[in-house]
Formats: sequence, C-alpha cells, structure tokens
Amino acid sequence: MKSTDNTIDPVRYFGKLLGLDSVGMTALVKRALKGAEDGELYLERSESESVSLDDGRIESPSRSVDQGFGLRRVNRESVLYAHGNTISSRAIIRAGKELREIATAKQQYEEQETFPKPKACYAGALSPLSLAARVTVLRAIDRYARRDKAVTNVDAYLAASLVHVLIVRADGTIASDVRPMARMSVTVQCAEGGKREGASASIGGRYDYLSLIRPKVWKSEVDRAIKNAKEMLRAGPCPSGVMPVVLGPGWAGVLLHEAIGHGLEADCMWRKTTVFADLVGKRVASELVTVVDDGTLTDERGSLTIDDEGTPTERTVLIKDGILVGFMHDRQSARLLAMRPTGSGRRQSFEHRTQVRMRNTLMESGVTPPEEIIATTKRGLYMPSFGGGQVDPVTGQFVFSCELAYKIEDGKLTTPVVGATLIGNCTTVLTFVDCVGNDSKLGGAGTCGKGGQSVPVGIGQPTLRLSGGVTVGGTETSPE
Amino acid sequence: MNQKEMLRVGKQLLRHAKSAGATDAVVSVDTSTERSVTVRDGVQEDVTFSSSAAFSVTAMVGDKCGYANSSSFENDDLACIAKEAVLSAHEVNANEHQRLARPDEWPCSMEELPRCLALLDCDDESPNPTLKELEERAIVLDRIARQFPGISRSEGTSFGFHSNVSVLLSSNGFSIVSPSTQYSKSTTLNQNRGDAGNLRQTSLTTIAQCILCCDKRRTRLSERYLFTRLSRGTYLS
Repeated sequence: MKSTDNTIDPVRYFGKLLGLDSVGMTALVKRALKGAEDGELYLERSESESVSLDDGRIESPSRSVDQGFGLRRVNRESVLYAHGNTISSRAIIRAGKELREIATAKQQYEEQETFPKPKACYAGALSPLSLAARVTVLRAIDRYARRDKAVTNVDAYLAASLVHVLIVRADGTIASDVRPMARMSVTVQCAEGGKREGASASIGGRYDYLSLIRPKVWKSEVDRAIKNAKEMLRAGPCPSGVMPVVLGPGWAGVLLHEAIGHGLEADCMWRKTTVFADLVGKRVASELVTVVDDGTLTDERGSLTIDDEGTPTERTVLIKDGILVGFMHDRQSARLLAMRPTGSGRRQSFEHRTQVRMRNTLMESGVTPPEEIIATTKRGLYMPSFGGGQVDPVTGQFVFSCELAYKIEDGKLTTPVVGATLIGNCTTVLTFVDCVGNDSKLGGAGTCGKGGQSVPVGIGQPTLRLSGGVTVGGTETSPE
Repeated sequence: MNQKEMLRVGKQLLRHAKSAGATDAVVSVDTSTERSVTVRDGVQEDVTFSSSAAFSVTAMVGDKCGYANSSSFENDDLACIAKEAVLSAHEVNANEHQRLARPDEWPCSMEELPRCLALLDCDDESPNPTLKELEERAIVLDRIARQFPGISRSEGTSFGFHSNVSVLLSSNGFSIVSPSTQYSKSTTLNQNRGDAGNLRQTSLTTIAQCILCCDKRRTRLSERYLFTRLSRGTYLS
C-alpha cells in the first residue's frame, strides 16, 4: 500500500493518464455527454489487500490494484453506463459514442445547485503495513484466543484498501476524494461437553491498520466473540409468541437498516416499490423515534466526504419524532421528485452505476438508561444483535434471526437462548417503541448489498423496547 | 489491447515473477467487452457498455503459492503485482500438491491446442450485437412477457452480450489464447394476484440464464423458446 507520502493526488494522477488538465477534462466530459440531462465521468484507482489466518494456516493473502472509468449518461428514468479500465481520452470518447447512439431524447444538461467544499470526515491516507507484520498480528490474535481452553478453532482476517476518486461533471464541477478503509474480524469455535458453537466479531472504519492492530482493540473483539460462543454453549431453547422485545445498542440496528432504511432510498420512491411511498408527513414510528442517515461521521465505514456523484454528504433526517420527513436521494431521484440530492449516490466501483444507498443509518439516543429498560420489563426477550434477515419490499413483512438472545424475567436478564426469530411489519414496528435508551452507537462492520452491488455502511441504534407489533419465533417445545 | 500485446504483457509478468524469486509462475491476461440493455415496461432503463482488461499472477516458491491481480497495466504496477504474488507465496503454508502441470501431463501438445480449443465451441464469430440491436430485442421480449395472463408489469427485461479473450501463460511453456462469447437475457415480472395491495414479485432471472448457459455455438436469441420454458416454471402455478 502506498505510504502517506505516496498518496496520489487524484486530479494530477488521472489528468496525467488522460493527458489533460482540469479544463481539458471538463471539455472531454462535455463532449462525451453531449445531449444528456445529467451524468458524470467517474475515475477510480483502488488498491486493496487482505490476509486471513484459518486455524493456524495463513490463507489467501491477496493484493489487487484496480483502476478505471465509468461514464454515466442520465435522461429522466433512463441510465446509460459505460465503463472500462483503460483510462484514456480515446476510450472515454468511444464510450460516449456507444451511449449516444442509443440515447433517448436529446436534453439540456441540467445544472444543479453547487455545494461548498465539504469538510473531510477521514484522513485520506493509509499507512503501509507489510504482509509479514500483518501475519504477526493475526498469529497474536490466534494465540490470545487459544488461551481460553474452550476455544478449538480461530479464524482471523485483516484487510485494507485505499481508493482514489475523481468525478468530473460537464458543468465544470471537479470533485476528488481519497478513501481509506480497514477491517478486522475474528471467528472462534468453542467446544464444551460434546457441544460446539461459533461466534464472530468484527470492527472496521475509514482509518488505517494502526487503529486496528493495537492489542487493546483486537483483544476486546476476541473477548466478545469468545463470550458469545460460550454463552451459546449453555443456551437453551427460545420461547415463542407475542412478548415485549428489547433490542440491544449498535448492531441490532440492522433491523432498522433493512426494514426501514432500504424503503427510504428514493429510487424505490419513483419506482413505487416502497411501502413508504405515500407516508411522507405521516406517523410511522412512536414519538420517541428519530432516525437519521449520516454520511459525515468521522472515520465510520459508511462515511463519505463526497458521494460518488460528487455531492457532499450530509446528515439526512428520515424520521423525526416518529413522523416520516424525508428520503435519501441521489441526483436522479432528486430531479425526478423535485427534491435536493442528499449525497446518497454510491457505487461499489467504477464498474457500477450509482444507486441511492444508505451511509451510516442510526436511531438517535433517547433519555432512558438501558438498565432501566430491562428493569421495567417484567417478561420478554433481549436481542443484543441480529444475524440475517429478509424483508418483502412490497408488503413490508420482515423476518430476522437472532443468534443469541436472553430471556428477561422479573426485570433481569436470565437464561441465554438460541434460535430466536423476530417477525413483524416495517410500516408499523417502530410505532410500538415505548422506551429508547441513551446509548445510541454504531456497531460491527457492515456491508450492504443492493442490486448486485456491495458498499460499506454504518449501522446503529440505542437500546430500545418494542412493546408489541412483533412475534418471536422460538424453538421451545410445549410439554406434552 | 490486441492478442499480441496481451502475450507481450504476459511474458513480461512471467519475467518479473521469476526475477522476484518465483520458482514457477502462471499469468493470466484477460480483455472483455460487454453490452447490455434493460427495458422496464417497454421503456429503456439501463444501458451498459464496458471494455476492460486485467491480469493476475500466481507465483510459486517451492511448494508455496501466492496470488495478486490488477487492472492497471502501468509498468510500475506490473512489476509490483508480480512481486506481491511472490511475497504472498513466502507467507502461506506449503502445499505439496500445488505445482505446475508438467508438459507430459497437459491434455494435449501445444501444437494440438488450437484444434482442441475449437472443439470447446465457445467462440461465436457472428458480429457483435450493437446496443441498439439489444434494445430492440429487449423491447420485444418485455412486450411478450407482459402479455402473459396475470402479469401486471415488468420490473426489467435485459439482453446482454459479452465477449472475452484470455491469455494464459506458464513459466514451463504452456501458452493459450482463448476467445469466448456469451449471451444473456432475463426478465423480472410483477404478478398481480387480484389484490392491489398484494403484488407478488417473481424473478425469472435464474431460469432464463440457465437456459442460455446450456445453449451452444451461435446462440440465437429466441424469445419464443425462452417463454415456452418459463411458462413451464413455477411462477404462475
């Protein structure tokens, strides 16, 4: 990975490959997008590396360097996209010609509002760390985890990337960004009394290795994974039925992300494929609930100084005191729905067109201490985190699975249980929130998939209680 | 990048890997062109054209094996990626089963290879369809799809074309240039079950793509054939 000193200046680097200065690049894009209503030239160079330790063996150390361009031509609902990894004026002109031949109506390139230069929300650099040094960290993680006699297997993974981006628009706007990303994850298997269970923990963000390889950081992740695996070993079956459910802070926000967040991405709005399409200004949650999607949080996985269309990101309020107040927009949905773009146009790489995507989606803190929420729950289930889930975008029905939950009995967390699922409807579930903790935080290292593209996201919420509106699917069988 | 240039880059990568300490190496250089068009309810929605090139290096150091890849053909990146593959090989565990096939283990001699490749029948030499031609086919297919009883609207009907040239070289003399072409088509439909609030979305993509994978040389895009097969599927049952 290039050192801080070697970090590329995107304008200079891509300008050199194209043989053009800023004025020349703008002229090139104007020519390539002639007759388009909107669009941009997106240039990217990505360097990434990863290595894993699988039960004591170093597996698949990899390093890749990818670069290329994406030329996007937008006319109303239609998106024409060309991409290639030969960055040259000739290749871009050819791509523009291919798209022009099939373009629908000739349009005037619409100038949209200009934005002030945004404040960077991460350092645009990644300190180098040799493969040998990364392997040493993974072996230290392995040794530390195996100090616990119940641990039988350890998988540890370390990865980082540095992505240089340049966006050139036909109206002369040129925006650049250098985006670091690092991630560490660990999975442990524990065995006891003939039973075997596994659990994982991961951490990551827009920073470099140095934030991950400090023993204090990775030890807490390893401890968490071991604790969960051992809890699962002694866990019993999960009760089922309608009962109050308390969701933990952090990663349990994946329910919010999947069940609510995707429905508030405005491409679903103009395609009329979201259950929220007609609910703007209406109550969709209890008055205790405020949900935001924030791209400006320092160093978080979903943070971006600018989105992949060159729009500065922002803190977008989606639900305010229970009322649906807004959607996330890229430039296309903003134009089609006469709204402002919110800096939510994202893509996996230059090979992909932008989509409306979440960044860091979280529910804001309330006022209740989390321990008080548990203490005031007579009987119910505490779900600290979720595994996978499914949402039907048309009906709003969702099902989420929870690897490890705890019974709440007389205001106390008691027996751990496995095999819980949570079933409900995303248009109504948040109206049943009757307590919101004062401990909102982002958790885990999330990657969100949509339309064949994966992007890093932040996911979070405070501890909260659902007094109804959900059904717990359990594994407990009734006595005959 | 033409085939001659791809071979030149491949040989250069082999030299870089050897000089970085590889005992053996395999390199792959690929170029591809892809066009696809999606229409939705008869209206053009997504159009994609791509032209790409990439390479990878698998380096062997004794019985250890490392890998690195890139789509940047800058001279510095060629040398850097080959070196990274060798460095990776040093870090992994040895695997005695991982080695290059010896010439006597190849399925045929280098002289016979072009004839064997032709038998694989994977290159369609017919002219590449333009985006406009693909769009015309997609519009027809989308219209046919929406005529099915119970189908309320289309969620996207796509036609795609992909052509690829791969060059594979190894340090013990194996050398292959392999062109291939592939067509794809898919449609995703909404089926209205009579209740306006209960639209059922059914993706037929997998079925359609399975059919195309089975198609042989000079695949023709037969809408009638596709829909005969789809109607036997489960989505209307």
